[in-house]
Amino acid sequence: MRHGITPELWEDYLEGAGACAERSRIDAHLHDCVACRALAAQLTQCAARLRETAGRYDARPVASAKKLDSAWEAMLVRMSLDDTPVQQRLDELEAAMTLLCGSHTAARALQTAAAESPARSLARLTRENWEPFLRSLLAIAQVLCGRTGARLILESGQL
Amino acid sequence: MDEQQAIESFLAQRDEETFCVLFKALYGRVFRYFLARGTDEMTAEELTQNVLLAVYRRAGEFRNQNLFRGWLFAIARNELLQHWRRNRARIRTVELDQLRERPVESNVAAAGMQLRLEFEEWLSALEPAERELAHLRFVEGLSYEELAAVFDAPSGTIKSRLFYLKQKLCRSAGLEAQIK
Repeated sequence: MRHGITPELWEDYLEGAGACAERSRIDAHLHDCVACRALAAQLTQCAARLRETAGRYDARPVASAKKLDSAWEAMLVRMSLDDTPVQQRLDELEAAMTLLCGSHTAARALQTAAAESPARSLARLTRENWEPFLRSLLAIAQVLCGRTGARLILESGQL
Repeated sequence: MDEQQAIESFLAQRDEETFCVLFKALYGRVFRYFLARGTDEMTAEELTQNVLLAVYRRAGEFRNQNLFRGWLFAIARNELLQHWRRNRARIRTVELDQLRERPVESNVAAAGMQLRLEFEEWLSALEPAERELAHLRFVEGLSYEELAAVFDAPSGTIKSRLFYLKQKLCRSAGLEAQIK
C-alpha cells in the first residue's frame, strides 16, 4: 500500500466504485499528491485504451451463421449419443420395478424420483444428474419393495 | 433475444429449444476464449462443444443467475486445463507471426483477425494468467464477482490483480509514474 491507498481501493476508485467516504479521501489525497495524480491519469488512460481495443475485438470472424448451425448439428448428435445409456438404464429400471410393484406404481415411482432430483423430469436425465435421481428412486423403492427390492433397483440402475 | 434473455430462458426451462438459443448466443464467446488462450481452431471448436455440453448437463446445479458467465468461463478454464493435461501440452503464448500468416476467408474475417492481433500485441507484456484476466475483464466484460467465480478467488484479489496488470501495461507503454 502506498500513500494509504491499496491496489483494491485504486481499482474501485478508477472504476467509479467503492464507498463515498473512501472516494472523498482519495480525491483529497490526489489534490495534494502529484505522483498519485499522475498514476491515476496513466491507469485511467490504460483502462480506456484496453476498453477501446477490446471493444473493437469482433467475434464475427469466428462464429458465422453457417458455422453456428454446423456446430449446433454436431451438438445435437453428441446429446443424443450421450443419453443412450441413460435411456437403456431407465428402461431396465422400469422393467425391474414393474416386476416388484406393478407397471403403474413403477412409472409413478420413476417420475417422482426424477421430479425430486436436480433433473426435475425423466426427459432431462443425463449422466451428470443420474446419481441424485438414482438415490431418490432407491429411497422410494425401499418403501415400496423393501431392502431386497431396493438392492435390485440399485444394480439395475448403475450406468 | 439478447444473451441475458437467452441465459434466463434456458435456466428457467432447460430444454433443447432454449439451449439452442443459448448455444448460438455463447458459442462465439467461448470459441474466442480458447483461441486467445493459444489453442488452434480445431481444438477450440472441440473444447467449446465440451463446455456448452457441460452447461446443458449441469444447469440443474447452477443457482445464481447473476454469476452465469463466471460459471461458464470457470468450466471453460477447467476444460482447457484438462485438455493440456491430457495432451501434456505446456502453456504457450500465441505466436503473432503465425496468426498473421494464417489465411482468412473474407475481409470481415481479416479485419477481425487484425483487431485480435492488435489486442494481443498490447497484452504481450503480460504473463499468460494476466492476459487471461485481461481478456475476461475487457473483452468478455465479466464483473469482479464473475471473475471471482472463474478464478475461485475473492473479488478483492481480482481487483488487486487488475490494478497490477494495468500498472504493468503502463510500464510496457512507457507510461509509468514515479511514486515518491
